[in-house]
Amino acid sequence: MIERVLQAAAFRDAQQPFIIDRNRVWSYAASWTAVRRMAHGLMVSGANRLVAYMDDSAELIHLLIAASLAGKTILVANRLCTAEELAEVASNLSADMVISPATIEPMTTRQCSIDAILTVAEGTGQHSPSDFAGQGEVFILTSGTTGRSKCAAYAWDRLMSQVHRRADQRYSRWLLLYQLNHFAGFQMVAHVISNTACLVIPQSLDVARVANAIESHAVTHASGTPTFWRMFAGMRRERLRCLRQITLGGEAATSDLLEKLRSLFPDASISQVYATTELGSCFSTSDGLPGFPASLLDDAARPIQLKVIDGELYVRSVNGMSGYVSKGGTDSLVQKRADDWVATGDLVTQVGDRFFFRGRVSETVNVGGVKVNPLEVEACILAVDGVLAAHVFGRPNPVTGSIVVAEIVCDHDRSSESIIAAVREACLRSLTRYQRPRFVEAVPSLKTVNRKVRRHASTITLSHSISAEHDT
Amino acid sequence: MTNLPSTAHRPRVQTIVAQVCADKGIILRAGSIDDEAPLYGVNGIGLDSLDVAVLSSLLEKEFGDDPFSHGLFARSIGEIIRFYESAAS
Repeated sequence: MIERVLQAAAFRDAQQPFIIDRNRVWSYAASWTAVRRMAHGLMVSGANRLVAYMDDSAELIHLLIAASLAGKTILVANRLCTAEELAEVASNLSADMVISPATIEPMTTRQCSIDAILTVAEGTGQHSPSDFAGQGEVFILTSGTTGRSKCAAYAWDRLMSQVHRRADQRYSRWLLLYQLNHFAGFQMVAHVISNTACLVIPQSLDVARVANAIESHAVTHASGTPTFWRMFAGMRRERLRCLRQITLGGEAATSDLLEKLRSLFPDASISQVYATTELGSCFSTSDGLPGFPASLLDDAARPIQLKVIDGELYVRSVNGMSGYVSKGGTDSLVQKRADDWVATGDLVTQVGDRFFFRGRVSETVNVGGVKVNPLEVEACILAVDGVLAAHVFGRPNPVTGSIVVAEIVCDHDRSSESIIAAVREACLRSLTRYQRPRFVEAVPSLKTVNRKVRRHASTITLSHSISAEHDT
Repeated sequence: MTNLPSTAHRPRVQTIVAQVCADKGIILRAGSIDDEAPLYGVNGIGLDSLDVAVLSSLLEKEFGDDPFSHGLFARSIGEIIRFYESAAS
C-alpha cells in the first residue's frame, strides 16, 4: 500500500523532496529507487520477519517501505534498549533477521546491515515489480508509559487509511518529533507520503537544534507531545513565523500550554490529536481549547464513536490495529474486533459542553480513600510561571495508602526555591488538602517514553540522569 | 536507618512535628511541645490522618525509616522518639 503511494509520487513529483536527514535530501524518485533495491535485497535474503535496530533516518524509512514492498513484517526496536532486550524482542516475535549497522551480542537471530542487503541486491538479478509480494505488515510497540509495552500488528493500508489528504498540505514540510519505533512516527510517515510532503528529521530533539531545523529547512508543520512543546516553549524566547501548523498528541494539553504556543507561533494553527497505538487516530480538535467538544459523543455516523462510562472514555473504531502479537508470532495474534468498544483508560469530566482529560485510570492516586487525578494537580502546577514541566504521582504511605508528590522542571534562569514556593502557594489556593503535593522537588528533567512523561510512581529520591530528549 | 545517639532524635522529631503543624496553620515552636501531648484530637495537637501521613513521610525522609511503616501508630512525640531510640540501641 505505502509502496504504491511512493511509486505514484515518484512518477508524478519525481524531484519533490521526500526526506531530509542529516546526510542528504532524498527526492521521491531517489527514495523509490532506494526502496526497490532494498526490497530486492530483502527478497534475496529469504527473511520474512524483520527487526530494525537503527537511528531514525531516511534509510530506516526506506527499509520500512521496502519491507512492505517485499511482503515482509517489520518491527522497529527502540534504539535505547539493551542487546539483551533486543534479543528478547526478536525471540518473542520469532524474527528471522535483525537489521542493524553494527553487530549485536548476544543475539541468536541472524543479523544483517543495510549495506549487506544492498550488496546482495547488486550481486543478483533484479526482481521485476510483479515479483514483489507487497502487503507487508508492521508491528508497533505501545509507548508503555504506564507499564510494559505491548506489540500491535498493523497492515499499512490501515495506517494509510487514517490519513487525510489535503490540498493545503501538499508539498508541506513536516518536522519529525516522534520516534519511528512508535505509532505516532509511523503515522507521520504515512501522512507525509500521502500528501507528497517532505519529512525533516532533526539531528536531536535539543531545543536549539529543533529550532535550527525548523528555520534552515523552512518547516511548515510540526507534531509533538505536549511534554516536548512545553519544554520548547519554556526555553525558546524568539517567535518562529515559518510554522503554519502545530499539532499536539499523545498526552493531554493544558490551556496554559496552548496559550504559550499561540504566543510563540503567532502564524500557526494549533490542533490536538487523540490517538492510541491500538485504536489509531480517533479525533482531532483545532479550537485551541483543552479537551474535546461533547458533541463528538452524539455523532453515531462517525466511523469512530465515543462514549463515557463511569468517567472513562471508550472508543469504537474501524481503524486501528489488527490485534496484539503475543509471544510466538502470527499464530498467536489476538484479533481485535471492529465492533468492540475499547476502554481507553483515559478519565474525562464533562463541564458544560466540553470534556476534559483528568488522567489515566491507572494513575489515579488514592489518598486515604480520596481519588486524586494527577493531571488536575499538574495543570495547577504548570500554570505557575517558571515551571517548564511537571509530573505528579502517588508515593506509598503507611497511613493513607498514598500521598501526592510532584517533580518539576524549573526555568534554568530562575531560582528553583522561589518557583517551588510559588507552586506551593498555587496548590494551597486551588487544590483540596488531599490533592496538594506534600513534596515538591525540582529535577533537571523528567523521565520520558517516546517524548511523553513516563507515568508511574517513582520515589522522590530517584536519580534523574536521563534528559528529556533521551527516551527510555 | 541512621544510627544516632538517643539525645539527637528529640530536637529533630520536634522540628518535624512543628513543620507539619505549620503546614496546617498551627504555629508551634520546636522544643516547646510536650513530648507526651496527644498528636490527635481536640485535646492534643490536632493532627488528622493526612497530617500523620505527611509526618510519617517526613520522618522517613529524615531518618530513613518511620514508626508508622512498622505498624506503630505513634500517639505522641514521645512514642516516636522512643521508636528511634529503641532502634538505635
